[in-house]
Amino acid sequence: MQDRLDNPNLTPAATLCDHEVDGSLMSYGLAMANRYQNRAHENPNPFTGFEEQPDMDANELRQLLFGVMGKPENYKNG
Amino acid sequence: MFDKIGQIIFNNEIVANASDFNMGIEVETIRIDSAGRLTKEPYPKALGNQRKNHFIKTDVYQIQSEIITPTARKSLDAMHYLMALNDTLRNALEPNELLWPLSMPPVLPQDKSTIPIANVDPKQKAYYEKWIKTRSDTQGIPVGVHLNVSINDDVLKTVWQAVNDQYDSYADFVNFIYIKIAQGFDYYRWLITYLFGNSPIAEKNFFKPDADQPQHEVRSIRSSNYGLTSDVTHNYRSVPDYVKNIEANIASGALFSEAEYHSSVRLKTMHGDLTDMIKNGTQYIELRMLDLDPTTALGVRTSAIRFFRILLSYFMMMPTLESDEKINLKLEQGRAMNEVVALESPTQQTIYHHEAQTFLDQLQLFGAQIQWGPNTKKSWIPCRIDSITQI
Repeated sequence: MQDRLDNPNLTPAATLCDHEVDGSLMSYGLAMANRYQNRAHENPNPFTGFEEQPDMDANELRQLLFGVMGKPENYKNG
Repeated sequence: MFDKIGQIIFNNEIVANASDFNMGIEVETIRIDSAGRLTKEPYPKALGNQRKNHFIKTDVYQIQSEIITPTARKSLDAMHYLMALNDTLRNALEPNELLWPLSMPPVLPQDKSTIPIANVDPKQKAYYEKWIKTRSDTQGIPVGVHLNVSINDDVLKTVWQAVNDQYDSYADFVNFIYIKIAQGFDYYRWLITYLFGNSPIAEKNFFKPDADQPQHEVRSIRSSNYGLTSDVTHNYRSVPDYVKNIEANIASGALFSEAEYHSSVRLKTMHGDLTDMIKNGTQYIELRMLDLDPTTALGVRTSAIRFFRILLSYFMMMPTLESDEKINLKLEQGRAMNEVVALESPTQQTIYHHEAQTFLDQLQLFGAQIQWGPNTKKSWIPCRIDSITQI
């Protein structure tokens, strides 16, 4: 955080402005959106449990996402 | 250095427990099509019934998807949930859909009435329709990150054993700690806006051509008065004052309900019952000031969460910022500073640089102090925070 304070060019807003084209961030936003979407599609087994059980509670979600012994280990009920 | 609560935490060697928090993370995003227009697709079929799904919902508008992680006992576990749910949402989108990575929306249609309100239950939908009519036609569209945080029960119980003769009830004690944290975040929001503000421009059609709007890039439109604000009074002197203030705003017609109190810091109970908060204590605090971080698919980085954890510990263990009589004035000053910082040019040194440096130095000192126990060289903190400013 010290570097951001020392040099405002390193703040997130300033860094984002570097991607402006003609006063717009549309091309940057779309590029990042596509990058993240492509990365998500690389997951061979995305979680699909909501289609059959949309109203699952937090405990059911934890077990389905991470397995009974899986992370996050210190799940708080409720 | 610490106040009484902080000293008890320090002396009882529970700093490690007190420097992590139960946390749930909410990340809102806007669904778009492959050309960057707002999506026309309904709620993703693969996520089931949108009125039943507790973890991936829609916000005010149908185009706004909101991931709500369960509460995890460690803040970084909440990030694990966020990763899994983010991946789930992306894989549930239609082939031509994407998630817009910025807080400010992409180019909007000229006619905002074509943006559909969320298909939630009729009562909620009626509320959204009523709410939108009281706002500008774009005010509810920017999105961001909210952190829902509660203090570890073991920490509260340990401290309570040492101070129970100084409070009328356990609820009063809990409320004192939460209001102290709320005051800290409300005042120092300007610093968070400087360090994390990430909404410098608005795309076409967000502002009407003749409307008042920023004339240059800024740090955060969303965190400024051009963002989502409530034209209401604030009172963070105590939890009863906080509750009475919201109730007074509702009674005067300035707010429809507690849910409309769009302050950057909100005190909460699980069921939204304000009166219960006075009687039985605050259950968690909601921090709503983070803009989306477009450099990560998740919208928020672990380093930001770590910084918030340190702020939470600091505000919990250190003395209140100001006396009860003067605290609201101090917080008003902090809100005015936030407005200045939010609308500064992003490449400009903030006019509050000196104040920011002083506070970062205090945080650094605090980190160094809690890194080591009262009598030994044993490090309490599993995750080293000896160089906070390097986060």
